[in-house]
Amino acid sequence: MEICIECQRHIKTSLEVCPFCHVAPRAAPFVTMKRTAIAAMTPFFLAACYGGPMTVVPCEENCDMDGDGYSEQEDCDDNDFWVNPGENEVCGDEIDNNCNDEIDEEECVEPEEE
Amino acid sequence: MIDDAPQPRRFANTSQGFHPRYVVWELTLKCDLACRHCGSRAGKARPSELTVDQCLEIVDKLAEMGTKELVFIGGEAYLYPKWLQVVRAAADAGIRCLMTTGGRNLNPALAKQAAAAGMKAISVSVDGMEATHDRLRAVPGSWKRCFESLQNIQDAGMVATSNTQFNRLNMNELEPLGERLIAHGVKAWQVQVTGPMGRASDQQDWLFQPYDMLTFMPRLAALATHAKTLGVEIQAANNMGYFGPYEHLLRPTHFKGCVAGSYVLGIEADGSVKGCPSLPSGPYVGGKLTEMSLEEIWNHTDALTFTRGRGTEDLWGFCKTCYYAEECKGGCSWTAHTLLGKRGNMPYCHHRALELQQRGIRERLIKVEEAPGKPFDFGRFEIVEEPFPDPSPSKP
Repeated sequence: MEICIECQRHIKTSLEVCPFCHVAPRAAPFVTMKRTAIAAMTPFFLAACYGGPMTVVPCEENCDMDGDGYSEQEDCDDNDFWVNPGENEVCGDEIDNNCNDEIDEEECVEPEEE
Repeated sequence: MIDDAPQPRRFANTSQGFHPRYVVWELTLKCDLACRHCGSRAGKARPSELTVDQCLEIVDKLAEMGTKELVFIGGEAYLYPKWLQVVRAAADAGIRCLMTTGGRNLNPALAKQAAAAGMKAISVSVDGMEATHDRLRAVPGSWKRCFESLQNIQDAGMVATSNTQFNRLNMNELEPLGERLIAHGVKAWQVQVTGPMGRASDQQDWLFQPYDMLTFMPRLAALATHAKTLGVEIQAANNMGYFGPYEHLLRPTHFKGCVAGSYVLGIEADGSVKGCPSLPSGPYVGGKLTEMSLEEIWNHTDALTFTRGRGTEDLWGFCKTCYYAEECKGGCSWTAHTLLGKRGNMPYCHHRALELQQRGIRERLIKVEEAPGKPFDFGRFEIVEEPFPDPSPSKP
């Protein structure tokens, strides 16, 4: 998702008029969501639990910045939850979704229809 | 079953990468506090809690299945006999050990022992300023103990963090509490809303109304922005406030749906396994580790696998038609289920409150069924839409 620079709300794509503030697409009106630099902050924090939630703590090593279950050592894009060795390769998106150093290889799956 | 039965060597080979990477483990239900909003109704130990030998076997199994981070909770985890032995075993197995505590009796010696056993960080639950916290925690003096514990944690060389449940008793204490925690050296603060489970379910008047998101989230975002300049991270927990204009300030990435049972596992003190520690036991326990293997529970029970490959088919109400439905998938399963009796429709949502406000309406939660009075139980609420009063959205 991206963030509308006008109203700061997430929108699905910069190609659409923002459904919230109705700003039309411009040359660079929207910014791709960047992870706040929580340098080394474990991003995976659970729903609250009864007076004792999962902690959010600084991560010293083997950090998993996008919370997809794969550390930055294992993950070829640790800023994208949907890119990791456990994902299927999606055909036609020109992304190495499954981190096998191949893009849109033969075994890829067709993307889900919107 | 805790036994030596052959198990798959690599978990990822059999489960498309899903594995219990983050585990939250209730070592005991015994507690030295008596919180009036406790979702697990903690106090006494469960009748048949796991032995330390069983715990050590589970640690081995978790390490084998790829667990990287283990959070010990309770009750109060340090009241479990030989809890440090479990911590040490997990740390020795390469698992990062954390703990969440009420902090009443985490004295300097105990903090040092925890650090020596391999504990890396401890989060102290602080639920407001002194009078409110002590009322909620039902123990006078418990607030002061929290801050002593934060100091003890830091003195022992561990990272001190904090977490707070906000509700209608303490919602006006957000800023002073945040400043206080920052002054006491916490590095991160997780803010959540009190969920309607256990004793909290008995306190309808304490719970947020959905439209409280409209006033609470801007304040939280302002505080988080200020805290960031001081090197402190304030984050919204997964049970509140999705997709308003502050989403990018309050979460590392935008909310992407419940992942209970995909990368998260919760273990209750008697060996019951859930996809998330917060989930109510009745509908979400997949099995007991005294009766089934962890692999069997993880791989083959609906209670553990419901988020894997999940679409929007089980969304309902507002969430079914929401712009963010495919990303959010109805928010927090725990909070939605314990409010409304099934997951997939989550009222504590900032985007939802904003959209409804645009239409001139707001939602109110009304309890229609009491909780039966057992750990992790819940009643049932219904959503009533009403005209949005002008101009003060936060008044009940």
